[in-house]
Amino acid sequence: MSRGRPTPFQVPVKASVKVVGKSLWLLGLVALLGACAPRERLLPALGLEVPRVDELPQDFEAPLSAQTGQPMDGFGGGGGGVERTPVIFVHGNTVSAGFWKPTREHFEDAGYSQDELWAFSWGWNNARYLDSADLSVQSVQRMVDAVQGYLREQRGVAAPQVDIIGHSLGVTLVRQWMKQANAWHRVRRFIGVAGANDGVWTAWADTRGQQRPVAWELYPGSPWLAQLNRGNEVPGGTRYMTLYDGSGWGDVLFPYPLEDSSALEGADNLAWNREHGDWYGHLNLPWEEGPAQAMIDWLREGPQVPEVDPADAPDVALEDGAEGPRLHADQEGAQIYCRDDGSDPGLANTEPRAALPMQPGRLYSCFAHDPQTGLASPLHRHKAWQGEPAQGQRPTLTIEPAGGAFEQPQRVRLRSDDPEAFIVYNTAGLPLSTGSPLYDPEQPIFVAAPLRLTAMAVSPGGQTSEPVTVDFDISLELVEATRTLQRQFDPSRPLRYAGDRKQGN
Amino acid sequence: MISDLFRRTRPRRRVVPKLRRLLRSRVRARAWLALAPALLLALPAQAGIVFTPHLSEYSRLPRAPFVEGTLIMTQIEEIYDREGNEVPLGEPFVKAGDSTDAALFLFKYLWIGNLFRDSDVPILKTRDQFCRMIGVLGYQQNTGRIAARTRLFGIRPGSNGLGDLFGLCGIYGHEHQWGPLKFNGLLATTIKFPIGDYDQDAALNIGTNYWSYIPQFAFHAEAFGRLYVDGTFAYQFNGDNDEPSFGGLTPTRISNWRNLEINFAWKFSEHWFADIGYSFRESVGRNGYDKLTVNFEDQPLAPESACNNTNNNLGVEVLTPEVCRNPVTQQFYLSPKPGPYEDRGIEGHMLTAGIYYVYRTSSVLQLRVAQPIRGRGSQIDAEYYVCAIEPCNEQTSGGVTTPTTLFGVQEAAAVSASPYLELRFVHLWWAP
Repeated sequence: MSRGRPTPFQVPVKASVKVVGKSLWLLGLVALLGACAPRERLLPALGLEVPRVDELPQDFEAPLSAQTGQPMDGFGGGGGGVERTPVIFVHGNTVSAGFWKPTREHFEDAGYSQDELWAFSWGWNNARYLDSADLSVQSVQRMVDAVQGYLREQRGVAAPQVDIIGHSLGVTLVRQWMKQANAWHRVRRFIGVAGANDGVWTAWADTRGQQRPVAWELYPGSPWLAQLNRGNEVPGGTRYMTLYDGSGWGDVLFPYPLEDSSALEGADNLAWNREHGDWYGHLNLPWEEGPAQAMIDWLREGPQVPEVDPADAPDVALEDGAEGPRLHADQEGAQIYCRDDGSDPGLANTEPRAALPMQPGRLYSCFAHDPQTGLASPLHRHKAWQGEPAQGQRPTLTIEPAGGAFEQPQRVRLRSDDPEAFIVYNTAGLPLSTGSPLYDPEQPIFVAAPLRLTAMAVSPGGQTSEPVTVDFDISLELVEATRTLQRQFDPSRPLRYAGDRKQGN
Repeated sequence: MISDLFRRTRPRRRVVPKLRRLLRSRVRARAWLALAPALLLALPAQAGIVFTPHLSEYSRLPRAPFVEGTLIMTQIEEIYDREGNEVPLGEPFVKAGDSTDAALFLFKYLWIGNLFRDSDVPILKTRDQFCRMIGVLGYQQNTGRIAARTRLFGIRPGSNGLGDLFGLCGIYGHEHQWGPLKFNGLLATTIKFPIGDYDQDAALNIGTNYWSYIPQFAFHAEAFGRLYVDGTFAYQFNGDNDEPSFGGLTPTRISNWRNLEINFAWKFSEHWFADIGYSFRESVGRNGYDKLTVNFEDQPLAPESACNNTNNNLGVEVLTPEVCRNPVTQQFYLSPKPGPYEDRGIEGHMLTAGIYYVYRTSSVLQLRVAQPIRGRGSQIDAEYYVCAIEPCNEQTSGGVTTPTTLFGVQEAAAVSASPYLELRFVHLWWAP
């Protein structure tokens, strides 16, 4: 009873009320735990649809996410035509395409149309399941394919190249895709915002749980990053820019001594906070007007190629001349960028030349580039015979260990029976080419996620082995988590993951 | 009935005038009855402890579930009286040195996320939501002579068990940035469910037995990536407690409170932080006591008890030996007037200081000390009927009463002047 002063609760707590209260306690606990369930599970259970960034055209066939198996939501293709190189935004960990909406506004203010700005939710969009670069390489491939295909078919624009802006995990993801897919020629310009190119302090080599794949990828000094950065941090016919804090205090993910982790050697590196005295953080750096304008200005440079026919792209030609084999571009005005030390050439740090005589026994990595159109070729590798060309048998290839389920990352060794052969591989289940990542016998391949390794040996002269494919299953927790979440879409999927658990080597 | 009662008491009426004279003597103002146990206290400002901010308490943390375990230990040897003086617990009726020992374990579960992200729901789609549930386990025990004195009133000196449940939900505001300064606010509402163990016959209770509703505004600010400031203003609406404990020494009408707290933390590195904070709590108005029943269990009382209680504890002779040996005071009974009484409200000011160690990104270990620096506790001036016969009430006492000053007990009334130690562990699930 109130005695002169109103109170919000006039509930005498008698024994019966206590019982009710304790029941409420339990109910509340259950409700709170329920709220922690993945939104993708909770909302359907309540009869609600999971919200999505549903801003793709009706006639756009959304690509499937390699991680979730579901069509990616996102934005783009809203009209306005294509006059510039289309931009695809690739978000980071645990967020969706919606992350890029503030940045998109700056681009629209600068004149970009909705047809020129695309983004896709490629991951789980859930903090419970951190995403991984290795697991999403195919997602990037599919989104680039989908954008180019849509613009070609629905807008009549060839769009042989796209510009890509990645943020955070999206930076290393896109770099990994370009490397694994030998797809540098498809990207005119790439901007990496706050990427962990040399690691992030929040990732650890001995991380447990579902976050292990991305932690293994991105911990400072990780073999995965060494693999990604090896042989040139800015390879191929792509121009690179990085945008990051640089002060060590603005972006909490990159404190000293990792304040320049996002920079790439050979890129246009812009440590925004350090150079402008700002304090933008990890998330809002690409949302702010100044950094966004810097990105827009940088993308405006160089030829825009929305309507150039991809068939007009130059390529590397091998010619057997009187003085021996030589490499050159197959188009007038185009140049080739080559290296013969096992590293990859790049626009920014490799001397272009019209032609290059090949020395016997040396391995050349080259791409062609047309400075007029900006188009480039994929990377190619060529090796000239040392002595007389061998005839007959194709080389063979062995992989050790030959796949399997492991708890820890594996060091995988490749071996060919032809000592003169070089070996290329990829870990994304993509088709191989001579421009695929080059295997270094001194640096076994670091496999740190459930992925498919495909490799082939290439003998001098170009004869290849049969591609060998093996599946690795690393991080059982992730597999279990993935299956758990996927069970909502496919109840027949086994509840428990039954992979064999083996000790790492 | 009344006349019968009157008749039965009449033979003893001759005692009353002498008692009246005795009781109206100079000792009247001295609270000689020694009823006021001055026993606290049960978890001084439990809600204050629960909501004292920590490093980045109100920042927009990553979307994830967090769990937190906090162990709070205190040995309350001093409390604040209504004048703001620090009073040794139990004095003047027991010697200083004993205490109320209390340990609280708070289990907090915090969920941060945005169920509406990527949707078209206005406001919510871009503002993360959070919910927190706080469960409490507690141990409280009066020690030594304080416990013994508690038993004189037929009261259990301690209690252990489940505390009240706090449920909280809120919404973060957008982050704003001006140069090196970042700022975000939040709005939240907490409901305290009075489900904790509560015994009317206990001096200390883990549960409070009244509902609370606490709307709260809080903010987090960062400057230069190194200085972190968290602050909050909360207004706590308190319900009534119709079943007071400790013989009605917990208020039945609990005043509302206002809380103001601020915390400054300095980042030395990604792993080490230190902070200092200030916490203020004040009741808005007065607490009301309507069901005072606290009384000596064994009655009638011998006059020696009055003499002993007064002379020995006050250290001066206020009752003469003649009075103590007076045959008309061979025995007497006491019975409190149930009320209503009101205090002057309570107030507490506390400083906190702590260090944090952040293990990777998933765990925080914190050690913190809280030191009350100023306060005001609850005291009421109660009246006790003094009778020569049972039952002791207004009629049988003939209107003879004696005043005494009583301390209110438990979090709504008592304010500790002793420090407490806090050991806290926070774990972020799913962190790498």
